[in-house]
Order: sequence, then structure tokens, then C-alpha cells
Amino acid sequence: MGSDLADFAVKHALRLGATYAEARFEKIRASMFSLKNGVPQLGGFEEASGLGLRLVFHGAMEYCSTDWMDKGHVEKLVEGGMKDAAANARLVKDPVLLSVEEAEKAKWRVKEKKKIDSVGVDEKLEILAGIDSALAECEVKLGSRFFSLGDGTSEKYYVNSEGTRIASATPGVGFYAVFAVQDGKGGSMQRHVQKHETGGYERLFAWNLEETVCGEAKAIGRVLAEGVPAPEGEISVVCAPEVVGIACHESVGHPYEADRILGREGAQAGESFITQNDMGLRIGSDAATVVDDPTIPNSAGHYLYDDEGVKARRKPLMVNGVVSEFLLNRESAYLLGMTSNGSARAMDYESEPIVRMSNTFLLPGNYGDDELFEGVRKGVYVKSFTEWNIDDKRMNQKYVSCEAYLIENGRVGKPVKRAVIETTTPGFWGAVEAVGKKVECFAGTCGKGEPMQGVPVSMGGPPLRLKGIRLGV
Amino acid sequence: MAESFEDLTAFILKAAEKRFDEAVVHAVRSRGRLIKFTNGGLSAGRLSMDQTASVFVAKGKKVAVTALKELESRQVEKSLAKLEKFVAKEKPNPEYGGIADSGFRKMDVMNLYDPRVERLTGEELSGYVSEGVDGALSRGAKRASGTLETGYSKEILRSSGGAKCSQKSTSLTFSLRAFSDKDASGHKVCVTRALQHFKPWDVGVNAGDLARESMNPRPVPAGKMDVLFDPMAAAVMMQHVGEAASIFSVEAGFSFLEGKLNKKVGSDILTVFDDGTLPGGMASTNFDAEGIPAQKTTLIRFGVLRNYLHSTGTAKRYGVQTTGNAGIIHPRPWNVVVDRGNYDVHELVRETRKGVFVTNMWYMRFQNYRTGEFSAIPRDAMFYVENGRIAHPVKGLRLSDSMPNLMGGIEALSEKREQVFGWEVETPVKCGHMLARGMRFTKSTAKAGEGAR
Repeated sequence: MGSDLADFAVKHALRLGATYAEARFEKIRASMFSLKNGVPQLGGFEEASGLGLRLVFHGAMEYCSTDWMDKGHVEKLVEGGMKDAAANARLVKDPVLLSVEEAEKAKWRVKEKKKIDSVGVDEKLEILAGIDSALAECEVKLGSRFFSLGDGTSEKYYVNSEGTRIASATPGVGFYAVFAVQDGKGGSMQRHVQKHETGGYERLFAWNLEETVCGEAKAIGRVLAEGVPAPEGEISVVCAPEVVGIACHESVGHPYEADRILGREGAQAGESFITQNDMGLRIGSDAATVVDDPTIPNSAGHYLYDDEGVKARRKPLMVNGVVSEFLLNRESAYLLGMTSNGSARAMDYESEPIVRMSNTFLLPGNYGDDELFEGVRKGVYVKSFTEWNIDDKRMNQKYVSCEAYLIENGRVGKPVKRAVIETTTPGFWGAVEAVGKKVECFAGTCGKGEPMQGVPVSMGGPPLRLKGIRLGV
Repeated sequence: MAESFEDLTAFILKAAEKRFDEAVVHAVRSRGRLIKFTNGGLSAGRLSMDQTASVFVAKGKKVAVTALKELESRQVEKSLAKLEKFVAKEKPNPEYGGIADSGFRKMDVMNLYDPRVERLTGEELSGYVSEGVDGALSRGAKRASGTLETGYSKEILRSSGGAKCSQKSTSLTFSLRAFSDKDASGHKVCVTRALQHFKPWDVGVNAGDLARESMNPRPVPAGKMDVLFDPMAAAVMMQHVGEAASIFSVEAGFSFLEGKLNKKVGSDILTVFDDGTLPGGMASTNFDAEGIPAQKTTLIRFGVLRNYLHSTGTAKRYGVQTTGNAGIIHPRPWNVVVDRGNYDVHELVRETRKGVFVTNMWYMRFQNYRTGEFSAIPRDAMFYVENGRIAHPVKGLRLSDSMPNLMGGIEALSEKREQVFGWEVETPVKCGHMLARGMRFTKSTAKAGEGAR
């Protein structure tokens, strides 16, 4: 029924004069549970379906959506969208054109070993209760704590006026925790843990959440109790995968988004320090190669075809420190004289597909874990971060440590309180002198677009060593 | 099969009451339109037509929520049957205090709905975009990007406690960022529910002025400085006072106001309200998620924290009255209103001895919600102020401080206030210019030449 409405919407738009049309029917099933200080909170579920339609009329792009799933309302939506596009045509400077892509016909789905539907409400609440009990017994002085667990499946049918038809189903599971550890003298630290993967509950069970959360709590308890100030002067900094990941996401992924480079996100999400003529520009050291890859099975940002029906592939963004490829959708690819590399994503049927990251990470190097620390006379090992931000051109960034340790003469020692990396994009990537072997990725929710769209992504890499870093205050 | 929207809502409630001890049905039909423009030209338009019925239910102390999109009677029964099975497997929430069963009163908050906004044509909307862009270009900006968004919604709320509420509302939001050079930009918004207050030309002109005046910025050293915040920048931070005042945030560890009731949390001149009845407020409403009339609640009076925000259930646990802030999940702020001062902006610049005038703020992130430590990046035009005069534009600073320091450092406020709402300000804030003493700024420690582009 939903796919019939999508087909109808495309045909109706073409009949009314649209030069291009695509429709995405999406059915979403999701549930969510939370626990605050050990007390079960409101649980809930949602079963929603809706249709998103994108069309080009008189050179104007229009995105329309509705959750009234009947032919009469879809007809009204198409006609309303055409009318608005005609009115907006007076603002068109350059008519919207899209890169030429292969028409694709495909069906794909993410497999669930332990199906979401097979895990009961009571079992899900037990998972959260188990984490809470484990945390209560892990010998740290706890402050407030809040845990939530969510799961859901998005089934999509995509059709466009060029013959592409893609059907997909993506189940996923997620977990979020925020908790405070206190030192008993009025000081406290707060830790956020976020997990998300596509697949069934087998993914969640593999996270060992009780052990993970307790390990985090004990580590920050130690930072609180024994932490020393971060060293001054130029030092080496070893960043663990969590910190490498946020840097990959913020200062490689975002500035390589072609729509930012072309100014389309200038009003809110921002533009980029990279221009469309910067292909080949050196940003980082030879050791730094960052890719975005949606094809990784079970990753948070996994997909095989994007929300414009373009086949997904790995995109080498920065290769050996040099700008190598932008993230492109069909509109930005056309404007840059390229073809799309399958980077268009929409949060849901209510959202237009725009250029997004998926899983963005640093490729491994040749250094063993111990080798990264060897030879470091004075340094800091930043294992996790808390506060962070970056300016809207993706140049000046800050990462404040949550868990960090001193490195003295090649050995990891005392915990460090609040090590601050406050640097520029070339300042960070140009300082990479050694990259480890084992990639680890972390889940996040990336925000962009108007209205704001949050999409699941992951970010990470192996640990790396930065040379000559002066920590901030 | 129910016919009218009202009948449909009543039908869902009746069906829910058969299965649960308590139920609230909040049904919304909405239509939204958006024009996104880049460098003065169209990026895309957007049209949405939606209907949702949010259903909250309780059986004993077990509580759950769902959102219904298909409102046909057989589908409603099916979803409620599923919800019943869901609730049966839940665990009780011993803190649950029930929904309101009295205190309902018909309200009519001013300027929630303007039929002229509902009837705006596509031609009129695209005309407003052109007007704003022309305003920016007329002041020396080279290009302008932004969004114009308009919405209409009709809401009906019915509860097993006896609430019967309805309202219509409209909204009109224009956000424009003007650019005059690679490091020179200005950003302004106009948010309103009524057409008479909509001034797209002024938005363009004000953003254009900032873009022109911020050309050729120079670096200044980091350190402690006085800061004059434009309302756009002040709102980014002050919205968190509303969130932190929700009793849910306090209990969950998300609040820098935890344990501070009746204690000093700000300077003597700081008075902050949560006001669900603010005329034209973007979150103003006649009723909360359990049908209790929205109200104006004093959060901070002369620097002292006076109230947290409650629903009927949370209020019972604390032995206080509901503040009319029930959300579908937990108490939430409506509009954060910072009380006016008695300065104009020129006087505030004169009061700024040595510091910066920050016109916009971006990417605020907390290090610890309980201590309120955060950093945020001044965006768009920023000026260095020396001896009470604007000296030159600056760039490259980051505000790295805490909410307690900010609130304690506020020394002067302007009389004129604006409503700010948008991408960086999710809880609407009405505030003026704000002068705070001794705020800490940091900057990149990268060597000169790194990141010089």
C-alpha cells in the first residue's frame, strides 16, 4: 500500500509537470525505555508510516511529506508541493539539476540474529536494571544516573522518475547512559556513554554494558580521586579511538561535505574552511588517512543505497594528509561536475535527503599499542572526552578529557584531570606522527539541516600519537 | 468511525479508558512550509501535512506512551491492545503521582493564532525572503542565506481526569545570515505568531550591518574579560536555565540548579521566568500535557532560585502545586523570559570596560551538567570593546566558563528585549542585551601558521 502510494506520488508529480520526482515510503517501529536513579520511567513505542516526496518544478526543488497514508491526501500533497515550487521559482538563480546516475533496482536488509521482536518489554527493562545494579556495586560514590535503551526498524521503499527502485529494512539497537561520580568533597565528574548499531539484540548483548559502564565509572572515580593537573609546555598526546573518532567526524567529515563547501548549509550548520578548488590540498601528515564508509555491516551509519537511490561505497576523504574526495549527493555532484558517491541521507520520511556522513574513521597504521607510548618522555594519554565543540567552518576545535593519564618515559602513569586539546584542524592532523593498528568506532548522532535532522553515525579509528601539542586551559 | 477531529480524539480516549486507569490523548493536525535559501537563491521548499495522536496511559503505577499516526478506529483499537500488552510487561514506577483531575480552566493566551499567517500564499512567502535578502544587501552584505518557516496547528487534548482543551496556533520564523567577507557575517532572526510583528526587512538590515561592521577582524589575547551578549548569544545560554529548572533534570543529574532552591544562583539583577502565557511566545500554550493551564512561574528572583518546574505528579512528591509544565514524558519549560533591565545597548557598551561584544553563539556543550561548566564558540560578528568603545572586530575566541559564573556575573541588562528561537535555541528565550563581568575566553594553542587560512 505504501509503495503503491510512493509510485502514485511520482507519477502524479510528473503528470503535473515536474521534471524530476522521487518518493520514499517509510514505516518505522520503535520502542524506548529508561531508568532514572534505579526507577523505571515512562516506556513507549511508536509505529509510524509516512511518505516523503521530492520534486523539481520550474527549476525549484520542493520536499513534501505526510503521514496521512491515503491516496486523497497524497494527491493533495503533490499538488500543494507543485504549487509551492511554482511560487518559489521566482527565487531560483540556477535551476536544480542532478548528476546522472545509473538506475538501480535492489532490495537489501540488515539481518537480526536475535530479533528485536523476540525480546520482551520485561527483558529490556531487566537489561537496564542489571546495569544499574552493577553500577551500584562497583565501589564508586555515585551521583545521579540515567539510562535509556531503544530499538527500532525502518523499512523503506524508494522510487524515482529515472527508474530506480530500492526496498530496504534496517533494524537497530541503542543505549545511552549519563551518570555522575562524586569524590565526597563536593567534586564530581559526569560521563556519557552512547551505543548504537544496526542489527538485532545480539549487537547489544555483545557490548557487555554492565562491565562497560562499571569500568567507565571506576576510571573517572580514579581521575577524581588521584588526578593531577595536565603538564604544561609542548608534549606528545596519545589519543584513544574515542578521541580520534570525534576529530575525524568534526574536522574531516564535516568540512568535506560538498553542500557546506557550496554554501547550502551556511545559514545554520555552517560552511567549510575547504573550498571546491582544494582537492589535493595538504591538511594533515602523511600518517593521516580518513575515510567515510557506509558499507560496514552492523555499523551505526550503515546503508547499501543512499536516500537518492545511489549505491553506497567507501569514500577516502583525506589520504595521507591530503584532501582526496568530498561527500556528495546528486545536487552537489552536478554542481561540481562529478557523480554522486552515495552520501545522501534523510533522518526519516519528514526530512529531505542531504549530504551526510555515515561511519567516519582513521585507517590503521603500523604502530603497536606499546610502540605509541615508547619514546614519549612527557605526554598525556587521552582515553575519552566530555565537552567538545568546533567552529562552523570546522577549523578551531576543543576536546576536554574525561579519562586521561600522564605518560612519563614511555609509561602510562597517574590519572590527569581535564586535559584540554584546543587546536586547529591542520594543527591536529598535521601533528599526527604515529597511528596504531586496531580500529574501534563509537556511535553518535549527527545534527545538520533545516529543520534539524539527527542521523546515526559512527566515528573512530586506531589510537594515534600527536607531537608538539601545547594543551589548553 | 469518528468523523470530526474532536470526535476522533474523544473516541481514542474512550477506547483507552476501557483498558487503562488513566489516559491522556493529545491530537495534533499540522501543516508546515519552509523556504531554504542560499546566497539569495532558492535551495529548496518544504511542505508537510501531518496528524498525530500522542497517548499517555497508566495502569496502577505502570506508565507508557505511544504516538498514533493512523487514526482509523480499527487501527486505534489494535494499537491500544498492543499498548495494553506493553504496559502489562512493564515494571511499576513508584514515583508516578497520577495525572490532574481538577484545576482545568479555559485560557486564551494572546497571539497564539493569526488567520493571516495560516492563509499566507507561496508568493507572499517567497516575497518575504526577497525582502530580507534585499535588506541585507542594502547594508553592504555580499550574500545572504537562511530559512523562512511557517506553521499552523490545531490541537485537542482530552484526559480521563476531565481535561477538555483545544487550541489553534500559527508561527512565522525568519532566520537570515549575511556575509560580507570570509570572516565577516551577521545573523538575526524574527520569530512571531502574528503577521503584524513580522519584519523580514529589519532582519536583513540588522544582519547586513553586522556583516559589514565585522570585516577585517583581528586576534586578541585569551583570558578573563567582560562580555556584552546580544540577545541572540544570550539566548543560547539562558535557554538552559529553563531546562535545568525542570524537576526531571534536577533528579536525573542534568541540572546546575540541583540543590539550589532558595539559594543564590545569580546576581542581584537577574530575574528569570518560565512563561507559558507569553503573548506571541513560540512555546506559549493554553494548556500543558495533562490539560492544566500554562502559567508564568518565577524561576529566579533577584538572583535567588525560587521554583522548579512541575507536573501534577512530580508536584505531589515534593508537596507543592503543579506549575503547569507537564510534558508528555516529563516537566518541561515553555518560554524562558529574562526580566528587563534599564539600559540601552549604547550604555551597555559604555559600561563594558575591557571585553568583547558577542553577537551570536554556536555549539555550546557542557562538560558537566551538574556544575554547569561549558564552552561555546562566538559566531558571526564579535567586537573588541575598550574603555567603553567598540575598537575593532575580533575572531578566534571560545567562551569556556560555567553557568553559575555567567549568572553570577551579570551586571546589567537592556530594557529592550527580543524573542529568540531556532537551531541553537530550542527553548524559546525572550531576553535583552546582557553584560557579564569576568568571563573566561580561551583560544587555539596551535602554532602560528597552523590553520591560518
